[in-house]
Amino acid sequence: MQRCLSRQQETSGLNSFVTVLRHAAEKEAAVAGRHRVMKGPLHGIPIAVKDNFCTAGVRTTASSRMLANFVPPYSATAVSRLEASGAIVVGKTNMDEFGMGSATLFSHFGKTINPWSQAAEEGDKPRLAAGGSSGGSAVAVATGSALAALGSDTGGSVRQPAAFCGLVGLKPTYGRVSRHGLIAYASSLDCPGVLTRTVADAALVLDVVAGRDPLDSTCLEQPHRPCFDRTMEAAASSRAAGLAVSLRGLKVGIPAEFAIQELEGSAVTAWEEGARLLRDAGADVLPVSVPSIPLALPTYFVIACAEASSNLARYDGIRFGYRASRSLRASRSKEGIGSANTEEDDQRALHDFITASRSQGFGDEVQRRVISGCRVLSAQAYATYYEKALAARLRLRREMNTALSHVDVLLTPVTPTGPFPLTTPAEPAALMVNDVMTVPASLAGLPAIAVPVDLAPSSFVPGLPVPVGLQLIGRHLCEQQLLIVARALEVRCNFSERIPDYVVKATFT
Amino acid sequence: MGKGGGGGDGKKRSELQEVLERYEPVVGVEVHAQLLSDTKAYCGCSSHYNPNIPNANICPVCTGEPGTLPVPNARVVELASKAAMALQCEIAHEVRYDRKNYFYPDTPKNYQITQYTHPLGAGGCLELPSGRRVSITRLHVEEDSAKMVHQGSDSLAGSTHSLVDFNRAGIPLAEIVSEPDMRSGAEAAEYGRELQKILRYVGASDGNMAEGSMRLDINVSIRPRGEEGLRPKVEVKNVNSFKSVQQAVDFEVVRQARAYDAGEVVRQETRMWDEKELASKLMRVKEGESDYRYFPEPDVPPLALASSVVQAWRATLQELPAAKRARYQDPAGLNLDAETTKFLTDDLAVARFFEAAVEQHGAEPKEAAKWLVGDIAGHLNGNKGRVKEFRKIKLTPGGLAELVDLIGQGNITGKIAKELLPELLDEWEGGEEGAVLALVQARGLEAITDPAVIAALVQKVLEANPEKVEDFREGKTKLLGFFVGMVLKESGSRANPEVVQSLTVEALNGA
Ligand SMILES: [Zn+2]
Repeated sequence: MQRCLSRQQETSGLNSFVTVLRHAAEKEAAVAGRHRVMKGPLHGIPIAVKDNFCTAGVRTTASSRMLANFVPPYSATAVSRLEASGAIVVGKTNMDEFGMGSATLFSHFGKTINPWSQAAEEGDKPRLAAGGSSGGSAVAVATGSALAALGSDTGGSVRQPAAFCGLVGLKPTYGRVSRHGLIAYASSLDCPGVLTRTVADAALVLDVVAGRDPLDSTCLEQPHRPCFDRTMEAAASSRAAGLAVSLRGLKVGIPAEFAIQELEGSAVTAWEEGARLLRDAGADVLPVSVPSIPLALPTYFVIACAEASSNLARYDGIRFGYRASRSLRASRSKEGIGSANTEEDDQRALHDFITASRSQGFGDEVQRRVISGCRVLSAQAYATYYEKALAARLRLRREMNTALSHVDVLLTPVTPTGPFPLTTPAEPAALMVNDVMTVPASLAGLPAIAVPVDLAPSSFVPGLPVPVGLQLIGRHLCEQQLLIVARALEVRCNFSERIPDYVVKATFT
Repeated sequence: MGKGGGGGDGKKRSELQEVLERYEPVVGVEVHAQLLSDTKAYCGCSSHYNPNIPNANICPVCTGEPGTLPVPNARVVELASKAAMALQCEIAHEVRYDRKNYFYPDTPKNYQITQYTHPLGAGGCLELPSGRRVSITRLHVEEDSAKMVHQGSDSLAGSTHSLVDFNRAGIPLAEIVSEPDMRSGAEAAEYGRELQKILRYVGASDGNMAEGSMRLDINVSIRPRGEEGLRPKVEVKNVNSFKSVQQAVDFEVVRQARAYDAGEVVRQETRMWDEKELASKLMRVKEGESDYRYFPEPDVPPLALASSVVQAWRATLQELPAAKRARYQDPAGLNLDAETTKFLTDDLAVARFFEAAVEQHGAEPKEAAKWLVGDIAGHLNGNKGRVKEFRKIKLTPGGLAELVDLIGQGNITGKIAKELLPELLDEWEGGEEGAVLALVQARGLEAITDPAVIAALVQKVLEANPEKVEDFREGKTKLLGFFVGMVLKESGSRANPEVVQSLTVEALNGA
């Protein structure tokens, strides 16, 4: 615990935390140390929590000015389960506002910096993005400020930052982990996920947070099959034991449609290498097809923005959250109390007030998506955008499931490129391309995991090695199998041995 | 704003009559009925709240706190389904929810969870006692909004500030939309009354208009008689009683007729009914359809309604008001008159009491009905008795059956029964079979039928009024009633009136 807390201090320049719970964490650690009986499998383990999970009595901002002072009266189910298993929450991590972004750029609390850009610090080389929206969670784990972190993945928000920071990022099946207490971005896509250094750690944390929850009716009824079971424990016990696990009989599909033009050379190399390693482990590797993949990104954007426009409507400055300085009363009395102001006048004053609060409380990216969402749900656009997106989603889901009826898992890159510099102008459309590999599993509700496999020279900062990850997508609720394959890949890549010291040791100040 | 009808009631009525000769009213009704579930629609908060203690029944879910999710209440679906079945609706195979998006401070999430594309029930109908068949377009479930309390004014307009009470937020409602099938204010009111009865019969809602658990909005348009097609309709809100429904429709009919007569157009607009001024007032003009950006609620997955479940619910449905009325009036069965039937079936509690007395305790139907319609209702409405609500009377169906039987058997007189009734309603603690008789005996109130005893009473009365006896014998036969009354009085109302009658005639004509 002390090591984590000092790492947190040393790396505070990376801006991975919005709120640090140093004193609470120290106190809890002391209590945990005195207890002979383990509270659960995560007894005393320092964990970071993305700042869109409600934590009772602890400010929860979703990195928005709108919620900069919001203190929830209750804790998210995932957080309560972590705490019940003995984990200690060390802080709330930075993110893209309400989860809308792929670089932890759009935060009211500033950008988060990727620790892999350490070596670039000298001179005027640009700093790299940590990915997003769970960038703070990724950096917290990458720097050792926490041993694991809770993130949320709507279109890749756990997997992409994990890949950018050289971590394991697991997005379980939609509905496997309760969304109760997760501040919503897009309800039908939001999925609590886990960022860890190893596949086994991800399995361990998943087992703690997964399972049905009466407080979320989209949470699945089926009991969770433990993933950190004997197989995983054995496979994780040593490199030799891990290498001894055979994938004989397992089929790995390579979906051709993921080989898009924007794919970097290093990503292609890593993909081919990953396929070879799984074949070495005994798996059959074969090509599969998911024809609708090119539609995934626009489909995702329409659905996510539509749901967001409605989910974020509650932030009107009236009951909680940011309130525009111009008070409602002032705008009403302008018309003159008791004078002949009609219902319409007052309606207008009220709407002016709500508009002011929302314009000031939300960042640009959030406003952009909310407006897009309102547009696609409007009567004129519903059929052309929203309905088409729902149909495309259904088709994609069918195709993915069909592909996964022929093979056990799909192997794809996580992102088309490595971490990009934070100085890159925040061009929304360009940033969106980052999600192209991750949104299909989100739309289909399937479990997916990012595993760090290699180091490659950054294509943005010459000479700087950056991590490369691969994504495995599994069948509905087959997290167990997914994690076994992920572990097989992990042990053969031996990535952890190749992390440069400066990533975890050097500091930014 | 409203150019009210002015003048007396009579003038108004004749004006309406004149208008109705030329124009035909077209009326549709939209009802919001609070469903009788113990908890709110999407959280565990109790739905029984005290209107005087604002914001007592609230939680993070029904106030829309960030991160909270709605969890649908299964009871809501059951109650709404039963109401839909009673209205002959087709029941959906899958319960789906949609979001209706709009910004208003009484809506905590700034969207309402409702049903848009797939209502729970559709294509039903309701036959009014007067014979009109009203088609039911749809019945769907939705959540209520919070209550706005405007300070310094009745509405948002003109108020200094507004308070929000979230007790009502998330209370489950059934919205029941009719086709524009009604042709008068009276029919609209009748529709409301019949619908209220049905909701109460199936236990879906208490339909209490005064407390707001049943709210009506009416859509009124008129058209020249003989014209097909519909003209722009005006929605009238805040109609809080069935009487107001009729008044509001009649008012609108006259108002719109005047507009058409003056060559004006009737705009599609929303008006408020003012109960005091008996006039509708402009609230807002509809500028095209509002865009509520409906879309499927992603936080609540569709719920399959198994046909076995629907069947089971259907099996628990009570006999509905129309069927009950038909049965009560069936000449081959109970053969009650229409007025008695209406009285008994208006309140399910009364109907159940009546049926228990007749079916389980063998009461003579007509006699039992007569007591319920007459003396028992009179007691509840009068100001002498203590019990004012039918549900609270102490008399049991068995007790009523016994009372009726005792009279029928001649064990007590009707007069004595009437005298006993207030006690039986207000404070009786009997219940066992024979308890009424026991009470009668304990008080010494049994009927006197012994001719010898009655003859003695007759003799006593005759002796006390020798001049009247003379008068009678000289032809003033009208005096018979006087003698009978005196004898009955002398007996303390216990003497059998027929025996008294015959013995008195005998005594006056004899000796
Ligand atoms: Zn509640």
